[in-house]
Amino acid sequence: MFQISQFFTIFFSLVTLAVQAQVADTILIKQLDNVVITATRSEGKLGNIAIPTQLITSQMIKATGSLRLQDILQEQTGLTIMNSPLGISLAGFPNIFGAGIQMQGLDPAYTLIMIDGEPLVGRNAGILKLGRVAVGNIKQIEIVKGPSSSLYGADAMAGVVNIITEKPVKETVSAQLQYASNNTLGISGNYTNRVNKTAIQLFLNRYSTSGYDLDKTIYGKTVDPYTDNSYAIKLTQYISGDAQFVASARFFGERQSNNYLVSDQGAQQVVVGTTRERDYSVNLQYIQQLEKAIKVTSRLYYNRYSNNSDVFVQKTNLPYDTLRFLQQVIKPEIQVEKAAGNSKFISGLGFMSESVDASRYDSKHNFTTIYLFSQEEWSIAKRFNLIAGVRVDKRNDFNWRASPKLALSGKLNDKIFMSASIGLGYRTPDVRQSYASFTNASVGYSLLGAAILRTALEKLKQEGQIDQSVNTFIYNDNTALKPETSIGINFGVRYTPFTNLIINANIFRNDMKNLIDRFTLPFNKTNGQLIYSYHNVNKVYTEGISTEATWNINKRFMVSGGYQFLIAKDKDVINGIRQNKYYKRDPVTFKTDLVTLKEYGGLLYRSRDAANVKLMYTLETSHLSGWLRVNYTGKYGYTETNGSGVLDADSEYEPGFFLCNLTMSKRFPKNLELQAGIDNILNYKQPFLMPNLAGRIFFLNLNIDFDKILHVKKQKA
Amino acid sequence: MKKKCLLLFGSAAISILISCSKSVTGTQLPATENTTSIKVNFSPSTSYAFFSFKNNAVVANTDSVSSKWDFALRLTTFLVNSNASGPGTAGAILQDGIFDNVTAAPTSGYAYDTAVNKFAIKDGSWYTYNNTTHAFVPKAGKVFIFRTADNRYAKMEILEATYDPFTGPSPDKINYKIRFVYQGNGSTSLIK
Repeated sequence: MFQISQFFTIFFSLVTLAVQAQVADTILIKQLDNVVITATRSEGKLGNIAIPTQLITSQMIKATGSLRLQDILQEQTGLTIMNSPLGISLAGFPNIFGAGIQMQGLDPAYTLIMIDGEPLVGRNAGILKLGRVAVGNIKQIEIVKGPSSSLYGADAMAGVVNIITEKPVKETVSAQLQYASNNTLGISGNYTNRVNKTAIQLFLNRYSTSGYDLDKTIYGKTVDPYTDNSYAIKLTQYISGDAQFVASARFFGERQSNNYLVSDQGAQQVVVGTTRERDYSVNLQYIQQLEKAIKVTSRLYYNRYSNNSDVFVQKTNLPYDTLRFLQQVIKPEIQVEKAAGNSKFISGLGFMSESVDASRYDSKHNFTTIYLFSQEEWSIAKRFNLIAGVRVDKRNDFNWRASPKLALSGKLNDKIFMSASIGLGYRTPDVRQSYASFTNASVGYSLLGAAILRTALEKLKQEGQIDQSVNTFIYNDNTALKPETSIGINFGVRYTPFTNLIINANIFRNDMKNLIDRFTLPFNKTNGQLIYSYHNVNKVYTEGISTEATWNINKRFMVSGGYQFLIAKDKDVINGIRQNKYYKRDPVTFKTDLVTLKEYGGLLYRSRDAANVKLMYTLETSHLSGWLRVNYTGKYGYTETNGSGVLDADSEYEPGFFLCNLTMSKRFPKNLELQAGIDNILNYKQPFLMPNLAGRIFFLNLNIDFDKILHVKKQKA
Repeated sequence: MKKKCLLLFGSAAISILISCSKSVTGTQLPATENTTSIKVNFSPSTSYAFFSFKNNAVVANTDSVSSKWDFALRLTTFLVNSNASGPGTAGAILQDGIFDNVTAAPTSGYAYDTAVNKFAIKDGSWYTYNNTTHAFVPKAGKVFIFRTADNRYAKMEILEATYDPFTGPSPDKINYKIRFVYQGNGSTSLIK
């Protein structure tokens, strides 16, 4: 912990210094002028948004030199990359779950991930694999924190990450080559052009790696070798009368070679196979600017995600395991935007048809959702801004749900901007929670979705897998699970004492109820094994403060720092502790005692403290720049040792860790840039809990801008 | 407040005096406390370990159809020697609290294994299993009160579950460290 306090002493003394500095640099203020779209579904300046929004620009992405979205998000204040608890400790097994983003202390399942405003589908146990998004053609990433169901419906309970792709304005041709540790090779090509009223963008990326092995004592690599291919095309046709048509399509494919050890009835054998992931999407938009400042956007979106794995026993070549997962969504939507005087009104109507079919679910499922949203934004006396919005969703198997949101912001003076917002969020139970139908082949336990529980139990009874005397009629099918709901409050202050210093602070609180948890049925199978299903139980809250300061010291130095303090606790556990229901056992004396509120550490996998410091050095004259980022993730609970069943003992925490990344860039005249970097300089490894961290990585990037060469040639010709 | 404390202290002293005077007459022996380890199969299908409080020992498998054992354990499944599980009269109550504070066994309210797979002690009710870290920990504050196979009384708590060293993906044996207080004279008193 001492490092953290030192770190802040240094940081705040730097901030104090800044107050005395008097460099007129406007880069930061320009950043506040950047246009963002996610928080209100309409274009607005970042500096005026009443809802907490973080912006990652393409310059920032390029400056890190990273090709992985996970690495970029990891460096943002308040975002923690967490492995699925299901994905840890897999002992060489392929981790099909990947890592996701924890936002404001909420699990990855509660953050919606979108590309150009449209959600990606295909979550495995709530986690959407971030590796599906290639970063080479991103214009900016917008991160909206707090419940955003008032605009985006289900799944946007913690917030939204919207990845916005580039909009071509002129002819550019660029390529990037990356070589990194673990035989990692990345090749990207990007072409954009605009001829008269037609703009085109093409992007392709190939990324291959040998994977890595963090634990040599376990057979098989921690991450098996894989190859990714991404292609994207975007066409924009400007039509007379302020209308435009945008058509885009993207494809992502991953092929991973699996090789691991399994144990079948005590006998160990090596299995080999392939996991193939495919992700297609098509996005069509027609944007029409009607008179009197009315803008109509019609959209049609389609996304298809599949994950298929075929594994064979190496010796016999007999099939060992086959997994199939396919999710598709089609979503037409129309949105109307009307600006009049001091107010802006948006409203939209949409329909979503989804289908999911997977080998671990009972059968194919189709869902249809119809939704309507409206939002009014008023600006009052040019200093205050009020947003009121609501969205209503009706999914075929659930009741109508309304998600309202209210936000207010105001400029107290030139230097202080304040904002407050409150909103409701919700998440419908996922397909696994409702329809899982899975029996573990080697151990024999069963996992049954809540919506098919009675049917599945009766089937097991008929098959003699559960005793005839068990009463299955007390369990229900059909909408047995209720959606999880939340109410979120955010209160933010931004202070810009100088044009080159911005200090942000955001206090948040999320109260969630009906959280879905797994439970054990009160009777065993005839093989002695347990049966699991899901129910709505938990009431939890998360609260904290996220602060960030960015200071452009002078033309050469820019420094920024961020810190998040987070508390995430289960309200039922707190009540239980108050009612003396939780006991703990001393590991040495075996003496039993009551757990106290002070000892209770809250939910697992949450760090109370997380911080980062970034230092960028640019030497304009020699086209050199260096960027050092230090990220600290504080200790977090992950297990149970003392019999209390809750996080309350020192031995139940994993110590905090530092991730330090450095990128150096050198630009050569006109068209070449060389980047060299080290990720995870301190070589932090945690094979068990953080298998997604590869250890120290060296990389070398060559970025080429062909367009400048082309332009020179054209001029000569 | 002081008066109340004194009163409580007084009544406690009296009860201690009473139990002392009884033991002096020889009709009631104080219960005995033991801490012991039971080695149990890590498998839902192999044989149980049959435990006798009186002998503080696991009895032979050949005695499984007798009243020589009180409870049996395999992986995390408890059998209680009566009804569907054996010829004895054993029963069990699983209650929350601090082991040392349980001074007497109730005379009624015991649960039995009413059918195969319908157990007196529900699987999953007395331990936590973290299926990501595989941490398997007996819950603290779970007091098992037994009426034994021959109508005596005992209280028990599970202190620890450890595995024998193993190779391969799963262990072969679990060692449950238990503490119990056994009252062998037929009274319900569980005071040491």
